[in-house]
Amino acid sequence: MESELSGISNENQISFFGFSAGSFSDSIFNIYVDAWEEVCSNEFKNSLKKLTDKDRLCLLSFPFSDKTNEKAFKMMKRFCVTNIFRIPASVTLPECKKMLIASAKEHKSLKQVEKEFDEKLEKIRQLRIKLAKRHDELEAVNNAIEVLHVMEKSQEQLISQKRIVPDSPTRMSPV
Amino acid sequence: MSQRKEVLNQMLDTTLEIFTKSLLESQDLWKMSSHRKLNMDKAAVDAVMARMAKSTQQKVLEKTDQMIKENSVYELFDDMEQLTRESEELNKQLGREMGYNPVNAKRDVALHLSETAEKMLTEADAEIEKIEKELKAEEDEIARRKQVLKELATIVESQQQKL
Repeated sequence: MESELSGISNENQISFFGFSAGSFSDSIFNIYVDAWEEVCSNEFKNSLKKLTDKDRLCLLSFPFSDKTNEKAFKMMKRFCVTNIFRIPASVTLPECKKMLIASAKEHKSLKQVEKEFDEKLEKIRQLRIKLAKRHDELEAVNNAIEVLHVMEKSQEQLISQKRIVPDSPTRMSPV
Repeated sequence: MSQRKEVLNQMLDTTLEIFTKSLLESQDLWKMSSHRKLNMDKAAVDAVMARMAKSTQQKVLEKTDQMIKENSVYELFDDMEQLTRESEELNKQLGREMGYNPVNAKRDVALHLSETAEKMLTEADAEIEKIEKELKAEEDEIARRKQVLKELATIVESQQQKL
């Protein structure tokens, strides 16, 4: 009982409900005290006007010093803590769900993670170097293609000119 | 209706019943009135106590209902039942019996760090995959352009033959 009034289960109750089970039952008790006080104050103005201050105080306090009532309130508190507001052990609060999943895995140590990360960074670096080389190679090929393209155009033009101006006897110089 | 709600109401009713009964059965006021000579007979004292008990009962009920409504206790009970079902299902998937309880702040921090580290590794893997994809595209392009180069070289040689 006492261990449930503080510690993890208490924290979980506050986290979920906004209040702990113990404080809820305390609030109920306070409601009884307030209600009885209001009722007594009202009667002190009317039928119980003649009571002395000492007697009034006695009347105000007697229900809460009554043995039966004390037991009832204690039972209420115990019942709130152990039953009504108890959060089962199988429950994972929403904010802990991520950690539950993380703890369920076999998570690596931080050093191992750093080592793997360094390895991956090195691999990225090498891949980028390789990519740069491929890029240069591609540019070289493109340049070669461009040069050959120009050659192809020029030679095509030469071939065309040769056909247009063939040798002809009529063009020979007279002898 | 939630089981917790029923149990809570039953408990509150029982407590109030016990309290009211103790008021009605009390002899304190009668003793005071006898001792202090208040000129009240037994019937009058009983009537006053009955009236007070009834008023107290009514006020307690009102205040309790108000508090329960203000804190949304019944809705939270329903949420707890749903969360319990979800948690048990998740435990079944993960092969656990207990939910997660933050028992150690260091451990929680370590879990968060490992989560972050896992994310780092995942991002590094994504980057590697991306660069490898680019590399493959680049190599395909090189192969295609080399093919074009070869064809163009053939054409140029053919033209030179004609010349």
